[in-house]
Order: sequence, then C-alpha cells, then structure tokens
Amino acid sequence: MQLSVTLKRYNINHMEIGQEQILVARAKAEPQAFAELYEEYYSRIFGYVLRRTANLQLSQDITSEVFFKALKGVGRFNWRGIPFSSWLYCIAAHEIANSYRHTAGDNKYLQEVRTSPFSQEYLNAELELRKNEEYRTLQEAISRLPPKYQEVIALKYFEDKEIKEIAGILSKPEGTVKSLLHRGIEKLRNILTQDERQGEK
Amino acid sequence: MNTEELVTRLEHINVPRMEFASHRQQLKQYLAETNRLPQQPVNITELLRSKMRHLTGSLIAHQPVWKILFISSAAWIAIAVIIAFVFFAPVSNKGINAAMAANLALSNPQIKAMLPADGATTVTATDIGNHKIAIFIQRHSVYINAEVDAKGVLQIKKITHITPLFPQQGDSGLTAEENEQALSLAKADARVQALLDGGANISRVEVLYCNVVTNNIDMGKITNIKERLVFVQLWSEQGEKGFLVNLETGVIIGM
Repeated sequence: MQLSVTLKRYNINHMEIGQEQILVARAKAEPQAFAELYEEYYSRIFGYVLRRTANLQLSQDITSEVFFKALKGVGRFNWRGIPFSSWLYCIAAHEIANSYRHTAGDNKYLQEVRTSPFSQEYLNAELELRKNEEYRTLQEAISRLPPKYQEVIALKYFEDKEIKEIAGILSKPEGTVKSLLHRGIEKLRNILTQDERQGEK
Repeated sequence: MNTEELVTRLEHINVPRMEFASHRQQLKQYLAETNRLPQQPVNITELLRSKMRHLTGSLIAHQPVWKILFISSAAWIAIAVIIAFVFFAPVSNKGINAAMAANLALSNPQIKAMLPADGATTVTATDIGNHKIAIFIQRHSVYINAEVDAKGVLQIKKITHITPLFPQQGDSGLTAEENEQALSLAKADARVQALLDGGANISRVEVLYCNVVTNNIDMGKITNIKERLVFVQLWSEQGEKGFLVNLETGVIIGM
C-alpha cells in the first residue's frame, strides 16, 4: 500500500528501487514473484539486446538466456548499490559477448520459445528493422568495434543510460567508462570515415 | 565527419523499439514450467498448433520416405565444401570472396538458429555483381537465401521450409511422360550424375506432396503452398539418397 502511494506521488513509470528490492526479496523466497520482475524488464532487456545485435533470432535466444540465468541466480543476487535491472543488463552484456562462441542449438529450450521465422510477427519485425537505415549503418559500424566499446556506446546512446548507471552495469569506475566512451567514439568515427571514403571510390 | 557531428548523430538516432509478443509469452510459460511461476491463461490457438506440430512430427517419423529423405552423409558435406571453395573461392569481390561469404553466412547466429541442429549442409556462393555475393544454404528441410555485401554485411532474403506430406488419396501417381521428365531432369543434375557414375541405380520414382512455407523477407510476404513433387531415390552400396524434382520449375532438391 505504501508503495503505490510513493509511485503515485512521484508519477514514476519504471519500478522504483524500493519496490524492486521488495520484489527481489520475494522472488528469492518464492519464484512466483519473479514473474513481476520478468514483466517489468522483458521489454527493456529484449530491446537492449536487439539494438546491440540487430538480429531477431539472436535477440530472442539471448533474452531467454538472460531471464533463465536471472531466475536461477536471483537467490544469489545481492544489493551492492546497483539495481536489479542493471544486473540484468550485465548478464545480457555477457551473453552478447559470448553469443558468437556457442550456438543456440545447444540449448533446446531456446528453440522451443522462439518466434517462428515463418510467422507474420517475425516478418513484420524483420521489415521494421530494415526500414531504419541510419540505425543499421551505425549499428553495423559499432559491431566492428571491440566489445568493450560497443557496450558503452550502446548503453549511452541506444539505451540513454547515465555514466553512473553504465559504470554500475559494467562494474567499472565512472572514469573508465568515460574514457572508453571517448575512445570508442573516436574509433567509430574512423570506421565511418573509412566507409565513406570507400563508398566515394 | 568530426567527433561532435558523430555524437549529435548518435544522440538523435532513431533506434528500433519492438518485441515479440509470442516470445515474451512463451518464455514466461517456459520459466513458469521450470520454476513454477504463475501461469498465464494459455492461448488455445497456440496450444493446438503446438500439439499439431508434435502429432505431425511423430506421424511423419514413421514414414520410411521421410526417413529416407533425411538420411544424410558426410560425403555431401564434402561435396558442398568442394563446390563452395573450388568453384567460387577464386571470385574476388572488393575485399570479400565467395568462400569468405559462405563462411560468414554459416557462422551467422541468425542462420545457425534457423537451421536444424545437425546434418549435412549444402552451401553455394555466387558472385552476382554490384559487389554482392548470393548465398544459398540447405540443411534437411530448411533452405535459406542470403546476400553478403563488400563490407561483409549479411542480409537474409528468403527462408523456405519444405515438409513432405502423406501420399494424397486418389492420386493416380505419375504418368509415363511425367516419369520420363522427372528422370531426365534428375539425370541432368550433377549430384545425381555423380552417384550414377559411381555405380548407383535409380530404385524409386514416385509422387510426393510437400508443404512449402516461404518467408520472402525481400518481398515482405509469407506463402504457404502445397506442391506436387517427384521423389527420386538412388541406391548404391554406400546407401540410399533421395532427390525431389519439381516438374514445373525443373528445380532438383537434394535431401
């Protein structure tokens, strides 16, 4: 009851830390509470993975893996100043980095929950993704950067995260994040400039 | 472009915001089943579809033709690799050649996820000009057409799934002309020719109905049609090999 009053007073859309803490504590004791965390964060995690990979199939598999791992590991989750959502982003970032090392064929459950590539929903999503030419050009160039730069650029510009939050997600000091962001932007600029020159030729 | 311009570009980028409602629901259901999360009301259509998939799968598994169709051998992997590398590798395409494009396609996670977990894979890569290489991949009943550009960016164009159906009641089988046409088309295929030259015999020619589902991403269209194909089986001491012949298009599909 107290929680809903807080939410109304501040008119906050996303779950507050206090509410999140209560849910996480409940999820540790009873898995049913995890469903609420899942409903709250599914869109954000799927969106983050999709914007990082621009790959519909991979995004589904990684999102499945993130929530599967989160469900199994919620009992071990400890509050260290970072919210539960940052922990999910952290798992997602690891899974994206590992995604090219293993195939989804190893995990049968991933195949079971995937949207069929022969469904209208899949086709619509694929067409929607291809419409956004500007994003695709930048995402493609970002994907050629080392993962440490990809992470910070995507979290900053695709997810609109503050430096402090990125530092929490990646477990890195804020100064390191700023420096990675600066160097990453420079490297990205070089790639794009090189591509432009090649295109002109 | 300077750094400020790039930062402005990144700050104003319109990123995709979408999700799969079906994936969200099915993953939740899966997590619920594995860890007793509260169940959502089950979508009856999805449930029936899923049951039908299982039923169809188990019935098909008892059909000898189906089994024959999916018997694969290491030899076909070798042939596919030879075709991809020997015939297409020398083609250069502004930094990426056909062999590189084929490898890129095979290691693409989206393609990997769409292909059945194991089995012989046929890959062909063809330079289609305009700094693009067309890729065709087949494993079991899944066929993928894709394109790789000079930068190595892969785009899936078409995904096709072919499922053999039961023989249709009242089908009179092949006419003599159709039988002859199917044999002549099959014998003109290099793979069939290689098997015949190696001592194989044609042991069966019969009508096989197939369900062909195509997601043509380029055209933004999904089609689901039933096709009447001819199944040509070859037998040799090394085992049996099946091919599907489309009498209308002349296309031969090796299984």
